[in-house]
Amino acid sequence: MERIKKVLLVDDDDIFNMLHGEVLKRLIPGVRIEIFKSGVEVTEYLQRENENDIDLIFLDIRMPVMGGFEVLDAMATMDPKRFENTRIYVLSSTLDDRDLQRAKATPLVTDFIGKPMSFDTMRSILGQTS
Amino acid sequence: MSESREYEELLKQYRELQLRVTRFSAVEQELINTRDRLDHELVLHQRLHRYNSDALKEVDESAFFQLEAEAIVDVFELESSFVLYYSKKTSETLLFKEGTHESCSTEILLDEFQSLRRKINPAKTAIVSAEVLNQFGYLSHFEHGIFGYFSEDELQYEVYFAGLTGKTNAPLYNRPQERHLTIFGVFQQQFRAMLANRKRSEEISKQIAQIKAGQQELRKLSLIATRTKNGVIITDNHGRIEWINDAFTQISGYTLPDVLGKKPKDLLQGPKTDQSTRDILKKALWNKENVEVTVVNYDHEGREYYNQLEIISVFNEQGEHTNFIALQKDITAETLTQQEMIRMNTRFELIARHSKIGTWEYLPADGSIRWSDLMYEIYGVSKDLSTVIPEIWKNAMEPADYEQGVEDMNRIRNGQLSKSESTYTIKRQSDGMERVVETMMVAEHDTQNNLVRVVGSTKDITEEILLRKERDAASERMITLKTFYESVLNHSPSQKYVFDSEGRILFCSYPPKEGALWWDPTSHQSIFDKRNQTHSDRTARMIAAIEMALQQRHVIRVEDHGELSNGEQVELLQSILPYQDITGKLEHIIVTGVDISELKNIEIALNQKNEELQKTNAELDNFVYSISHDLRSPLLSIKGIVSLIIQSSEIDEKNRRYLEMVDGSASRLDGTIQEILEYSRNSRLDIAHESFNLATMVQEAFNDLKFSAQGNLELLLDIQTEPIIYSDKSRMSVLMKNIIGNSIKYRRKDIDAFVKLTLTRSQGKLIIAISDNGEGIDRKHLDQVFTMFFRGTTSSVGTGLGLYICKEIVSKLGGQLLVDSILGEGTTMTIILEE
Repeated sequence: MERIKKVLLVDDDDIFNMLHGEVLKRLIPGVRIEIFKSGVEVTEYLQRENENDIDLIFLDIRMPVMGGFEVLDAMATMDPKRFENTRIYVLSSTLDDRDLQRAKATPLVTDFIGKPMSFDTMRSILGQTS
Repeated sequence: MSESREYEELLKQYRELQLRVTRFSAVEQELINTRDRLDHELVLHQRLHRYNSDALKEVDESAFFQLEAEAIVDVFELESSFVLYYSKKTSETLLFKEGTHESCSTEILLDEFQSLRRKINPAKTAIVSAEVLNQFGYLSHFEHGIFGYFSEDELQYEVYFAGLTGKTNAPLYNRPQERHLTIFGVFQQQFRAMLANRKRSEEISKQIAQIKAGQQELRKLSLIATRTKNGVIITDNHGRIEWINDAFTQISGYTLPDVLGKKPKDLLQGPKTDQSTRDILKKALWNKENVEVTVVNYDHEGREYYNQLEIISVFNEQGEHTNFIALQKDITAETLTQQEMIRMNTRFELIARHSKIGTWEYLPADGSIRWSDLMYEIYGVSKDLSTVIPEIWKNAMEPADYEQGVEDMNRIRNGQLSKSESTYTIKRQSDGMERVVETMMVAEHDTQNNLVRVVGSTKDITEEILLRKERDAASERMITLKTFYESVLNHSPSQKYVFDSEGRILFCSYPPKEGALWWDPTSHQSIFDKRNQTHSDRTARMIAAIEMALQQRHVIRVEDHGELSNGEQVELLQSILPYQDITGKLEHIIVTGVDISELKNIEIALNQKNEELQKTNAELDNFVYSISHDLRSPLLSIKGIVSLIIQSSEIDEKNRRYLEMVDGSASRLDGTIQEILEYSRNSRLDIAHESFNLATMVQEAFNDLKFSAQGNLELLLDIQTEPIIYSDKSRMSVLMKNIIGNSIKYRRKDIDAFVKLTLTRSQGKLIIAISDNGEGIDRKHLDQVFTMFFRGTTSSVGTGLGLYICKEIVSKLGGQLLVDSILGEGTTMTIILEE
């Protein structure tokens, strides 16, 4: 079982970032969690740090200034080898079917998850790594 | 006795000697006489020879005869002589005389000589005594004479000659004696030979002259024979070819070397030569008669030709048959033409009979009239010998018509009229019915413009007239109808063109509006005629559309733009109908243009409105999503925090129950938000059909929903047909989620629950059934489940909108939604859609 070490949480809603962080911390003790409050922040981070050891990214769609899909577009211009071992989940409270379709059509995205992410959902995501 | 015997012997010898001497003297005398006679004859002969030598030199026949007459007198020393020549052919008599002084007519002398000849016959040369001569008239003047006669049968003449001594002058002249007789005979023979020679040579020279003349004639003839186009054959008297002309070679292909010495019949006759014609020719040749026939002959190559043959037998002066001349004319073309004419005539008669046309002819030569059998039928009279045609006419026709007919006939006969056509009413004799006949008569003239005959035809047109009347009435009705429909068309608001199958205009209604015309209604040209035509873009587009309609054989509608003189655009909808008859043959092209300018403007306005609406709708959609998102976000964070708290162990049972109630309320609020959104979208958005896999959709919906459920739960798929369906995918997705969501929500937790999808097709309908083994619905609520905000139980977690939305969606898709349920056993929701 490959261990999840580094997770990025991207959401403009602090509550969700806290909630998802709690769920992750309870299920994966010692995991490193980086929290970003906007698409701009995470994009700048990814461009700046040039990391390739990110295991999971949870990305909200509807964020002011730069939404989740814009972040994914920007990531698509980066070196793809960096995200070879990274699973990206799109998280949203949207009911718009178009968002769901778009998420499924984006190659970088592993899956779409409706908010809030429950323990069960997280468990099943983590179970996929085993 | 011996002496006496001796004496007797001697006497006997003497007497014998004496007898011998006597006999000798007689012989001697005889010899002397003979010598004298021979001397005399020699003299006579010498004289005669001299005369004859002179006579031979004479060219003139009269002089020759005269010399002969003189010779008789001189040679035989007689007093007078006559030479009488008589031609049996011409009865000409020539008389030559010498030593006579009395006049005597030639006729009398000939007569007397001829009867003298009969008396002294058979001797041809004879001494005639006075007794004989005294029996005659003129000759009785003579006392003695010598007479000769000969006839030449071949040359057909008789010659009488005589030497005579008169009674008074007798002493001066010799009397003809025995001794003259021989030499007179010799004279006669010589004369005869000389005369015959003369006559022969005359005859020969005459023949030579004739032959020369004849040769010239022949040359002329052969020139004609050579030049003529008719073939000429000359044969000998046995019918063997001696000569042919060039025309014969051209006709038959035979040259003179081919045919010389052969008989024409062996060369020319063949299998099709008529036997009776052969017999006629054979008989004529045998009898050496002239003959003229038409015979089938064969040329050198075996080609058959019709030969008009004339054979002439040729005889010479003597009446002997010498030659046949055969004249030939190749009349194949004429004969074939004639045969063709006969065939045509037969054909004509056949046609006339079948067309029920009676024919008649009048021959002015004998005033006779002949009718064809049909004429008798038309007039209803039986054909027998007693029928008199002019009387039939007179009886059957109206008096005025009859007079007109007679007058027409007379005018044709005297050349005032060459043809007349009339219609008469006649009374048919057989049944007394009135019939209308159409007659025509034509005069036929020869090359000298003499009337040869008048021919006529008669046809009973009673039925035709009835038909014609009906037809006229029908066509009148047609015209009325045409006018009616044209006025209907002219007053309709559309512009109509009717073309024939060739694209030529037949009809064009009055244009309802300026600018409606795309083709000049006065043009006589076909719309398909590419020559001398330059079409406007509009006309070219219309013609292209018409060609397409003809190709596809069905109506085509095209939009067309015209322009008013003020530049305003006219919009037309042109409908092109290729009008076919029942056999599928194109009869007309009907083009109807409807002015849709107003409609077009409305359509444009409508499209604009629609676009605006769609834009508004999209904005509204985004707004609704944003609102629902923003409404849900805090709700979902509440739910998240609640679940976080519940998960922690530092909470007592009472608070846990409170928190679960918070979570339930939040969930219900979230469900309400979702359902309101779905309801709003269903009522607002257009239906968009696409193909998708229903089984996959159901599977995904089930997978998404089963997360929230505990216990055993299974999806069963019973797909009897193609799982790809064509429908509104997003609505179908909402529908499936709602129904499956209900099955999961109201499952029985005490048993192994299942949700089952059954997909079938029947009679063009798609039947989707989703059944479960859940709680079921109380029968009394079944007819209310689709009502807005209806909830089956107070414990229900639903909003009362779910099935209402399902019903709305199915009805939007034009289908039916049915529910069947047994409380405590399960529910089946059935969706029936038109595919």
